[in-house]
Amino acid sequence: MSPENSLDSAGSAPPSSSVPGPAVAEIVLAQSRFENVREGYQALQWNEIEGASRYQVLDADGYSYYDGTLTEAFISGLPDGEHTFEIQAFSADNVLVGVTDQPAVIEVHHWPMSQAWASFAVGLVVFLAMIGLIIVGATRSSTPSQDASGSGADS
Amino acid sequence: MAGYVMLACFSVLWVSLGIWWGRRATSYDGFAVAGRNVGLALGTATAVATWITSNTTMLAPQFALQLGVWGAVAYSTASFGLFAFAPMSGRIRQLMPKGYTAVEFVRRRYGSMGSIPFLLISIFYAITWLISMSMAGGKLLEVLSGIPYPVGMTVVVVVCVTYTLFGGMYAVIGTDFIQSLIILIGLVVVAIAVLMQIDIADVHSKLETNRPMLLSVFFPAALMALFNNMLFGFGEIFHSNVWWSRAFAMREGVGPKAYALGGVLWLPVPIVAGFLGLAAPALGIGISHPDTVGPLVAATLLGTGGALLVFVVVFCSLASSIDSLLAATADLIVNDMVEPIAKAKRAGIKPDGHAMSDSAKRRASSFAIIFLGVLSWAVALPNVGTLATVLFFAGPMVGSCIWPIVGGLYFRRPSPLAAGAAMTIGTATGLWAYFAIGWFVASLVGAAVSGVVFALATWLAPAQFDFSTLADEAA
Repeated sequence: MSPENSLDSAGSAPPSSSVPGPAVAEIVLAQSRFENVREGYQALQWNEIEGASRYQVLDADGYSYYDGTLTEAFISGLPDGEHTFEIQAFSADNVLVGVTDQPAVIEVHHWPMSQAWASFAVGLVVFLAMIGLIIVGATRSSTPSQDASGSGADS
Repeated sequence: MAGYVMLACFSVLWVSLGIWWGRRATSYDGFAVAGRNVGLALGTATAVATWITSNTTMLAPQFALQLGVWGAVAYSTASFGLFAFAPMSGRIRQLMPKGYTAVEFVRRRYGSMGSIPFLLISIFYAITWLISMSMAGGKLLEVLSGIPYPVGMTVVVVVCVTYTLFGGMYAVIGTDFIQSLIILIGLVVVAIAVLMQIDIADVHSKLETNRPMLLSVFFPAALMALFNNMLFGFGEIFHSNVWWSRAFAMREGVGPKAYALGGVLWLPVPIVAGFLGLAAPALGIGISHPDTVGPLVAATLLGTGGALLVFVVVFCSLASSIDSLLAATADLIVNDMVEPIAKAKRAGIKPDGHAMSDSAKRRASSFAIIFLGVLSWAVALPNVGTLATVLFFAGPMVGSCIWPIVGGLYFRRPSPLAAGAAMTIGTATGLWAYFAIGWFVASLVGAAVSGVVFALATWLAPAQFDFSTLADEAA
């Protein structure tokens, strides 16, 4: 990230710090509404704006989630609820040259905890069973009499 | 410019060292399994270097960025696979002192009912891993040094093919030793430098305010991913010839210690790499592609020197994994595809002899390495991003191999039917879960279902396998 793209200590760069240019182009998102996002993360993509040297993705409170040169942002760690994001494009001298007419809306609805705990429990059982099997097998197969006979652990 | 100089220096270094170490690879046994005499230091180093792949430097931070603290923890559980494989490597060496590949074990343990699905899974996994790492090499070198993707990707593939071609497993394990030292020292330096520039309390505070799920203990997808990733790692290590070929290459008694030590050394790496992913949002670093978050954060925080250091670490981790895959997959192609076909053709001429001479197998290995290199280069060249994600399809496939491998190594009762059914049904249900629920449960479902199928089939129709037959040379 170049110094001119640096954010303030709160990680945000309020739009008010920028001067609107004479012609502000419309930024169009490849997809503006995302429903039932289960993992709390989503990539946003938009069109390239002529004269823009960087783009910024801001939530409804003005907090910056992305500040970079590409027309794609990856946003993660969102809790349940509807999250709105606006995208702004800036020229090299920090003039606003593009803005979304229609913001991106990400509706996060995490997987139910019952399903998460069920997966966790199944994983734990599989893990413990497998480790148990290796321990039993390794212990029994290291017995000298069984080694000599060339037989397996359950002989 | 500095990137090109570093690339040229390390390319010359690896090729020279590979050729020098590989001068002892005069026989096929030397070329394929390094004379079966690898000691503890080299054994541990090769386990660590091979397991620190481009995925560790790219996916561990990506996991943390996507799934938070649990994501980094989930990725680090892949080290458990090395711990679990430690005793198994001793058993493998003991059962098959003259063995070469994992597929050879499955073929002799379960026959074609087990070896056909296992071979398909092994080949799919090896080639997709190889392609994804070639692509990762090109992408990472471009992000870190501005070297164009086709140039970086081509150099990485050509360098690895060249020294593996000349030195086989000797070259792979020798270069792995140097590469593991560079990777571990480099990561420690990066970690210390990053920690000196980051206020952890500040990172925590910003994440808590704006991305609370990244710190949440009750993050549903992350909880689901925890054991999924662990089982994916188990499946990768248990089934892959990369790890089996090392078990065959190590001196008797070395494997268990080398794999356990390798796991201990590897465990903290994803935690350190994952922290970079967590720090990115708090530092205001814009992330477009989550798989490049780790190198991007390190390079941004540490400047040009940091970027070069990460460049070296990444190049070493890529080379140490690509060379291992080339060598191990070439063994698999020669021993489990070319030789059985040659043997079937010559059955009438030499019914009791080997189908291929030592020199013919050595030649076939060279052709296989070149073929794999050209294939991965050609597929990686267009840089179609979605290709790299194909590797994730392998999760349920390798997860479904866990039980047939563990059961087949230690117990007489598992039958060919149990192994074949476990792999087939486990893979099918795991892939269904991949599309119906998500990648973060696919390996878990594959491993769980294959376990149930394997246990049921073993209970209903047990076999009585004689392990002493595995000690002979391949029949």
